[in-house]
Amino acid sequence: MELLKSCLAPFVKRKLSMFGLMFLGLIIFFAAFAPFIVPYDPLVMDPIGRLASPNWSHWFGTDHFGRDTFSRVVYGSRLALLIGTGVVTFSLATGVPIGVVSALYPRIGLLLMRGVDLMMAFPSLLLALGLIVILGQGVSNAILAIGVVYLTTTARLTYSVALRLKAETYVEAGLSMGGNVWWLATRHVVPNLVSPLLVQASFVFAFAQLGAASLDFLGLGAPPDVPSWGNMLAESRRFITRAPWLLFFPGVMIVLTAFSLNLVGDAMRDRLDPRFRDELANKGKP
Amino acid sequence: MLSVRDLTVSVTTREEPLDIVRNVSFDIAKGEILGVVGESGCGKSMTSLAIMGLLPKPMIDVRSGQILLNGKDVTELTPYDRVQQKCGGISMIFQEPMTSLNPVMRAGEQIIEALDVHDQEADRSPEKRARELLDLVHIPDAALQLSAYPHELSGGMRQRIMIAIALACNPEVLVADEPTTALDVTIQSQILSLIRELCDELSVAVMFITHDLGVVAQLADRVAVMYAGSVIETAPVEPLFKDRSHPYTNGLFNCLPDPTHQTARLNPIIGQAPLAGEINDGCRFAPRCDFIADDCKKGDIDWVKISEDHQARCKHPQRKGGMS
Amino acid sequence: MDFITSYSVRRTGAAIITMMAASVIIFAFIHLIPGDPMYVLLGDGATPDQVEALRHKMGLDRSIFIQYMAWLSNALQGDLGTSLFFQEPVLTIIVDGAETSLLLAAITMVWVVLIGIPIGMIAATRQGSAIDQTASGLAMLFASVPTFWVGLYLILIFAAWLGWLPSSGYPSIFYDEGGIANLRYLLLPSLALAAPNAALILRLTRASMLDVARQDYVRTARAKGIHPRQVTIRHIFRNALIAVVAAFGFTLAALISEAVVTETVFSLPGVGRLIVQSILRRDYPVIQGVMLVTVMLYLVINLAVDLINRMLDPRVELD
Repeated sequence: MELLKSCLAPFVKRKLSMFGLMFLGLIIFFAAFAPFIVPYDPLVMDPIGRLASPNWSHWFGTDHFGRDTFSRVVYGSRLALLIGTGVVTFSLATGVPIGVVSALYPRIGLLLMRGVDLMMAFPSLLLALGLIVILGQGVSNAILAIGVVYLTTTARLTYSVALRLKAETYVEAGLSMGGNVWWLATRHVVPNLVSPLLVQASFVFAFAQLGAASLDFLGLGAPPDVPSWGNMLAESRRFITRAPWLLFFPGVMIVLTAFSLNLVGDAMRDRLDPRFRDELANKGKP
Repeated sequence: MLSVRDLTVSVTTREEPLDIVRNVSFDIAKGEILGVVGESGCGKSMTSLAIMGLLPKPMIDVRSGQILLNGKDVTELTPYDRVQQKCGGISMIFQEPMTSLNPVMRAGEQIIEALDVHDQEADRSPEKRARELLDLVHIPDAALQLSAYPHELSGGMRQRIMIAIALACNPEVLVADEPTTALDVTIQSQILSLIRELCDELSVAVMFITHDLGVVAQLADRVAVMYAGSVIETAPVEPLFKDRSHPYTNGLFNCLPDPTHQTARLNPIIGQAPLAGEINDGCRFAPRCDFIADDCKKGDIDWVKISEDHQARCKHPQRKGGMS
Repeated sequence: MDFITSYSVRRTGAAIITMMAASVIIFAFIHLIPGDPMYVLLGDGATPDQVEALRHKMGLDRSIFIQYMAWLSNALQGDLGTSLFFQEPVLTIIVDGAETSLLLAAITMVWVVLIGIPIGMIAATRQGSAIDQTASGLAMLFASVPTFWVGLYLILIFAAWLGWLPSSGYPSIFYDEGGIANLRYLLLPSLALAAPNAALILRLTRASMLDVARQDYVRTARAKGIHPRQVTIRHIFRNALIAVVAAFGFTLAALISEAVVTETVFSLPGVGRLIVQSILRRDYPVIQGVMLVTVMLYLVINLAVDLINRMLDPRVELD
């Protein structure tokens, strides 16, 4: 209970981040219970009712095939979560070991980090596009492609934190007492990585949304029949004057999801940053 | 001449404001060095910032009391205000010369910036005046040092530049907040002599904050000891060392390792200083005092005169001596 | 001259090495695509004779290393191969698109700097005020929007509903009629591109200024009694700028990436749209050529940003 309270503390103070947290909760809810919430099957077409503006039977209107926008939006949250989780997991699973190993074993580390720098020499979308060309299109390839992009930032972050920790006197002390490197890594380096990586994860999750939406929009991500928000935006392009709601709803979902993730990440960073910037008022010494 | 009267500085919090400096009063005459001693957190830095007008408002601000410069009330004024109102200068030098100088401005530019504001004499160019200042603080090879960036200078040099900047403001009062703590002992000694020299030559009143009793012995004319936000003893330096009266002052001296005696242990003052939020009735040092009596815990503690110009805020001052 | 320091020489050297390494990757790229590279390059409809001819011409019967050197030397002389789709030299096609993309990037950067930095400054100097909270909130919001969505909305509002601005295409200001006025074709796209980036620069400027304002030397500056505005500009802003300029490298990378999508949305004849279409058309020589040129440009920009950073911050010395 105490743990829960302290986890929620940074959010309660700021109304906006509370909103962010709640919106993310909503997305998770949508994703988990999509089949039960939606009034219509997202794939079912209804040529007669196509391009209907928002009304009581179709809250978000229908698209050019007559599919219910609201249902598709709800299902889109599944893909959004899938991609976000996939990208974050992949980048952490690859980036963190690279960073930690590079810090602990300087010779291999130099080589590895040069490799990472090399990857960072490519602008992110170009790197992702390049990988898509090699791997082909599709959701899992998109996850891989975007994941590789954020692997680099994660590796860099881990590397610099691990280096800094290595230089801390208590680590030196541990090493000089004969502690072996792996023990040191798990007991000291990894726990200190948790907070910056947690913050990083939320931002990566947000960027993954935007990246995936871009790939989908270009037709290089999820296949066209899959109800992802990016795909929906791509399809809406031809009809934006006739059916502006098709532009609005999926876009708003992307924005609010990324926004909420940014808010949450910011709140976590403020909380976890050891420099208590504005918190002088906690009865400390002058 | 600087007069601080009943100065109280507090921090605004969500609840009650917390006093971190309480009813502090002292005077510093021209050409006099007042050493302000106390442990970390006792409020000496905040007092100095209040005098300067550099408190981080609105969070921390003067709640009551007065600061008088040659009789003029400068309590709420920022350095800029003082310039505008032509009040006379108060300058400050800080503890960390590395971080106290703008890293992207050359040393000379930083001095000239101060001169542009304070130096009204148009007959000399700022560069010339800057070089004169460097002479005053004994920096050789002025031209080279003036064009250097702070990170290219040594710690001692940086501190001298800081002093030069402070002097450029034509101060009547100089506040020095532990200026030598971050320096090597040899440099420390040089800077201290410099401050003494400048004080004598320019008749500035100096408030010298330190936690090092040795520095106080070397430099100060008079001493004020602070504890938990208040001044608890004031005296000229010799009487303080010989006749220290407040148990806390005594404790401070006892903490010093004695090179002549062979003791196995040091003598710390047991316990910790109270935090700003803890308000207790009576003497704030009472919980840690070896000489506590029943009346120590109740009511305000008034000043007790020990001798001419030597007083302590204690109901039962214990006169001890011996330390030279 | 103070400019040609050992730092700049070393930094340039490092950039060149990185370019070489990147070129290796881009070269290898063709070979990573599933299938015989010959068919990749010629398209599926190639005859076996054409394949053999190209194989010999490209020297694929020689070692990989020699192939790379041949490709590289060709590239350095401007021969990036021939487009499968256009049957024209890749370099020509890229250069055709360069005007659009470069102008778009330049105009976008102007917006980013003109909007992001001043508002960030104001938000920092009035921290906690209504202006600050609104600006910071909006900035965080705009940092979360996809540029193509902003672009589509701009088209909807300003092109479709109001009819003030064109929604697609870009006639050249140099070659086509209309001249400078054709820049208005880039107005909406540049605004769309600028939105999230200006937001990020705003937040960075604000954060950087707040960070600097807490530093000891700002306190020293105030102690001198100089005018508060002078403190803000000469001391706080000047130091905060270092972090902001350093971020320009990232900003330009983001611009390059997002320009790809923005050009698609606005049907601009730029390099971004080119690469997307080439991917869809499997025009591999073009893909490879664009990647090479883009990466080189990006590295040059990063180098320039680093050197400017060095000029701004005299503390930067060693790697």
